[in-house]
Amino acid sequence: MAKITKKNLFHAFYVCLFALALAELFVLLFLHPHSASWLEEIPGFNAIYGFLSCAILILVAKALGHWLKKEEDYYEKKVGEERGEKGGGMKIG
Amino acid sequence: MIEWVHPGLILIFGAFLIPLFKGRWKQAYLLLPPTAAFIALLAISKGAFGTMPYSVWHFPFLEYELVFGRVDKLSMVFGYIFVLAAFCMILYALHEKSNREHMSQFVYVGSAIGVVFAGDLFTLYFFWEIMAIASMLIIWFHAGRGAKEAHEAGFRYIMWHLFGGIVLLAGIIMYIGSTGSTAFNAFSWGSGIEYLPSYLIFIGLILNAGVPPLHAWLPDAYPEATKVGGVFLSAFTTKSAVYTLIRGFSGCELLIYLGTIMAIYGIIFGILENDIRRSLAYSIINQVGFMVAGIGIGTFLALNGAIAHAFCHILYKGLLWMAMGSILFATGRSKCTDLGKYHLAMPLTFIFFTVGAFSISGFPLFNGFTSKAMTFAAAAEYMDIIWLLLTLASVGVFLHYLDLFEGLKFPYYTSASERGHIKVGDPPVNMVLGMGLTAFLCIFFGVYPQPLYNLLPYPVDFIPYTIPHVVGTLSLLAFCGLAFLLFSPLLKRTKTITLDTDWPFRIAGEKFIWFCEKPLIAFASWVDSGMKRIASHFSVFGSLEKTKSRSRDEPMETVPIGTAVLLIIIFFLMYLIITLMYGWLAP
Repeated sequence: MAKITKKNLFHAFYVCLFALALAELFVLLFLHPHSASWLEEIPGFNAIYGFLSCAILILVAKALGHWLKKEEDYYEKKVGEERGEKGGGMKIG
Repeated sequence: MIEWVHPGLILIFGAFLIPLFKGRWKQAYLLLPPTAAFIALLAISKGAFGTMPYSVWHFPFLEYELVFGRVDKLSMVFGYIFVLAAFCMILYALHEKSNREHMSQFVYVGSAIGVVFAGDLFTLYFFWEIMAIASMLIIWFHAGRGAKEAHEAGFRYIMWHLFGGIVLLAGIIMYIGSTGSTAFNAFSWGSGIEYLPSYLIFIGLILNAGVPPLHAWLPDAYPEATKVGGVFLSAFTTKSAVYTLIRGFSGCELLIYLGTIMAIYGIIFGILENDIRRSLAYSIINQVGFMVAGIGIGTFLALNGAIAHAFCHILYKGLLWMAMGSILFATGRSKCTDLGKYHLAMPLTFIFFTVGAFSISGFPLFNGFTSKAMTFAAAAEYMDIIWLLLTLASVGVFLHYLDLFEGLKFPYYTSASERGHIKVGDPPVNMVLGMGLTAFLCIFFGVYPQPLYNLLPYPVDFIPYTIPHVVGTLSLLAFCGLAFLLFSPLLKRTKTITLDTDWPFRIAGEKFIWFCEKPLIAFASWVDSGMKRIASHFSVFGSLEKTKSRSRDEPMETVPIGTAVLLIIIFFLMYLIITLMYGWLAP
């Protein structure tokens, strides 16, 4: 048995992708499925949409991260500034 | 024949007996109430007390009637999953020594079951508020490291929920005022001022479901709870809100859009977050989004889908929180950037986390696959764009968990030598058993969903395992994996927090407190000193001198502002209840 290495795993993964793409085509051509949506009857829809969805989400998250990611002590600092004190923390409760 | 027994009250009363037991006896006792509740449910569903639907436990209240036991298929399926999840979670929590933590967990679960069986709006509100307070206590009872953060977060949490509770109560009272009925059934919906009671009730309910922008309490507070507390919190508040939405607002179109937004919102914020438990909390918002969208579509298929998904979600999300809790238990850390490779020494935890991740991503043979598909089929019938967006979010779930694996650096390809120097190990046996049982249920309902489908309130004509569906799902997920491989360098975890919609409240809240502490107090002390000066003029009349006992410089006894605000809200709530009861209900 071949040793499990990073490279082998990736190769196996690519083989799976190829097999799935073929399987999808096979399903469309020979099984004539009653899919949930007509969109699924476009050849390769699931593969393309899966890829695109993932890519879009990553890019959107990356873009939003620029604005929304802050240092871990953001609120403590912010509050300190507001009060004109250094290191003033949340004193709720 | 024995009387009908309320499964939720078994847990609530069971909670108060916990301090009577010690050591092994306590551990044995802890499993008794959930078992008893499960037996009660079995007896109910076998028709021991009548054929469903029926309602029992009516009590007179003012001119109205409280109904504690409304039994039909919808309340039974939620009752089952709540009790089942409670059993697994209590098993997981068995090693905890703190009585008060166990008690608040029991009361929390019991009140969530109370919400599910509530047949009228007063009972609903009653259990709703108990649930809010019990869950706050779960967060507050975080002792040791992180206790201060937990206390603060718990405070913000209860503020949100008291606000939601007041809105809900106002809506309920206006609703009763306008319709004269206290029954908890579907509310009328439309546009116009006459629907105001429905709108208020709606806002109260969606706040608990974690619908943006009213969701910020969820990722803020849940991760601050204890390892065990977080597991409980992940299941009951949002899912009891899902139940009430099904009961009250199924088919409300607004929910479709809110649910779709939730599903995508939860994913994007989950990816950005560094703290894994906070990331899991965002994942709750994402999953509840699918349910909320299903409720909005409102067809039998969609409602079945939403209910099945809630059922399965409680299991796999509970499992993920348990796995994360045991990583926290072993390492004391929960941030991706801090974790490194500790988990390598925790093979069982790793397996359970993987089962949870596969379930939530909807892989065939796991329960996410058999439940999510129904909502999606209903969405495709409803509108293409909604189906596309929900599918996008569902692919995103897999991306999110791939990203978490990457963040946790789980050993997909590490050599044995790297594992050698790590000392931590899998958690105590009860935690492993709790996770094992939950993982078993995740796979069981994935392989053999029929028992779940039989529980659903509407007839199920749905076969998940068809070749096209399996192939389609697998290729969606696999190509998502490919995109992840290509783009993952963009998603590097950073030592950051992510701003959310609680930003204005946190900042404005601080400004308000600053205003109270600085200008307001200054003004008050100015008035105070003025009054004292005037008083001192009178003191020449001799005996009055003694009343000026407190000098101006003597420090006054102060109460933390937060406590004062809490008290004000509680008094306001009591005032509201009393006024409305007497003003409205008295002839």
